[in-house]
Amino acid sequence: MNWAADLSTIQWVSLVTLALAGGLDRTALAQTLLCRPIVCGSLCGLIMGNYTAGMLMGAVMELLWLMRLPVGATVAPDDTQATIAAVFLFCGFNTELHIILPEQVLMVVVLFFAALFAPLGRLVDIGARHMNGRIQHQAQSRLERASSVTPPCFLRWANLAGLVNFSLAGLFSQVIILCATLASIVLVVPLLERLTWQMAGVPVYAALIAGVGAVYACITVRYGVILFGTGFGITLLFTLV
Amino acid sequence: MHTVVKNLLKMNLRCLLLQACWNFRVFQGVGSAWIMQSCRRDGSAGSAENNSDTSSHSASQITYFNTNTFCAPTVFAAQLSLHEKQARGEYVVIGADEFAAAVMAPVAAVGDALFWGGLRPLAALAAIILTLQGFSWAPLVVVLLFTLPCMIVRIAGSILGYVRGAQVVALIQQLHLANLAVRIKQINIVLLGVIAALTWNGLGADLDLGRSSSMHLAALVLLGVGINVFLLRHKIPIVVVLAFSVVLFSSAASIVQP
Repeated sequence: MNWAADLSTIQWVSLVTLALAGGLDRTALAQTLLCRPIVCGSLCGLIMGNYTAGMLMGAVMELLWLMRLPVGATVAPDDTQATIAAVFLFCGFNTELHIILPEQVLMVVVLFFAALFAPLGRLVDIGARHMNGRIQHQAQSRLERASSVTPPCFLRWANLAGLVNFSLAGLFSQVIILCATLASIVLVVPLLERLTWQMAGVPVYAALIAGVGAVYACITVRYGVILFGTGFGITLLFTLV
Repeated sequence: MHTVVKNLLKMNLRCLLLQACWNFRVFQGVGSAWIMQSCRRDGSAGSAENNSDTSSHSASQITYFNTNTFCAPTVFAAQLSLHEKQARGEYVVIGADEFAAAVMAPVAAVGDALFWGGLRPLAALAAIILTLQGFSWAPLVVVLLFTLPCMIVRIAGSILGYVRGAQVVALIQQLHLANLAVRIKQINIVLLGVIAALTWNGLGADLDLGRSSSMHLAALVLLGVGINVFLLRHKIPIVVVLAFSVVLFSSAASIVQP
């Protein structure tokens, strides 16, 4: 398996910036949804030169993790870094690998391993939050010691330190997920080569159905089945007509 | 007036960094202390000296704070308004810090249900539908349906919070945002049905099936969704469900087209 993508300096810088910005957008900065898989996956695909694949992989990943909400003390698995890693690896491997496995099967295999290792990113995120606790503790003790006449700037520095902490955690998370996914692909793809894949598109659709189930399982509203059936039925009718 | 606009603008910009030092002890406490520190200083600059006690006390404390990030400017602006009234010696129903402590949890409940539980899935599901239909600009829908409304809520909320003070809570109640969140969730379920049907359509085209076989496939797709929901509600990990789904549909496809 050879790495085919010959990335320019601009592409590398863009990828690191995307990982950094996505990591910060999850919690620390603005929360504009740049971190959502469908957005960062598409952007990663754009940088790697395969926008369509990035968008499709982002869509699948989005469905899988959509309802893991960042509410209160809940820390969701790092779907941002997992998606960027998955798109990066998928787009980066050469056509040789696409011959071993059909493109869409490879896509699902990469997505599967990235999703498998996304919880590692969660652990890194939790670690960053614990470190922020120490920063807060230090800022608190300095605030208590500071004179009430001069306005202390410890809070500004504490926030800045927290921001740096989260950005480093995002990058560290990316490295871990990327390495783990890469190692798994290297180990598993030769085994999958023995299987025959006649209907190559099926795994992607199966992943989408798993994603639909993942979202539905977390939404509890009255008449949910009827509403789902309505959406399904109307689209089915439109498609048949 | 100029100072008020400047303060609100600065507060809104700082609110983008509310969670920069998020931690398990005080949650958004560091961010909220930082935001209110400058607001208190600027807001009290022209007021009487009798405010110095309260502001110096509050500035030396990083207390627990946790609310919805998009509704936070509303809370901070109302808090600022109350603080300014207190500084001028006017009567206030509730103190600035007590107000924030009292409303942060209810505002978080409403805001999280609306933005994270309702609007975010709506934006993402709409973008996924457009992706499956082949529209390359699909990710922009997330910006249009989520980021833009959130920015509007941040700015409008801070203005309303400042103008209405503690009364902004009554306004939030009148808007029935919890009901709106439920309606959006219902739309999300319909959109999920649309995605399932588009998946069926794509699978049918991929397997090159006839109309009667397509109906069987529709039943299989619905069955697949049902099994996945059952497994996930019984705490089966998502990667296991993903693998199961791939195996199930690949097996079904190999039966249809051996």
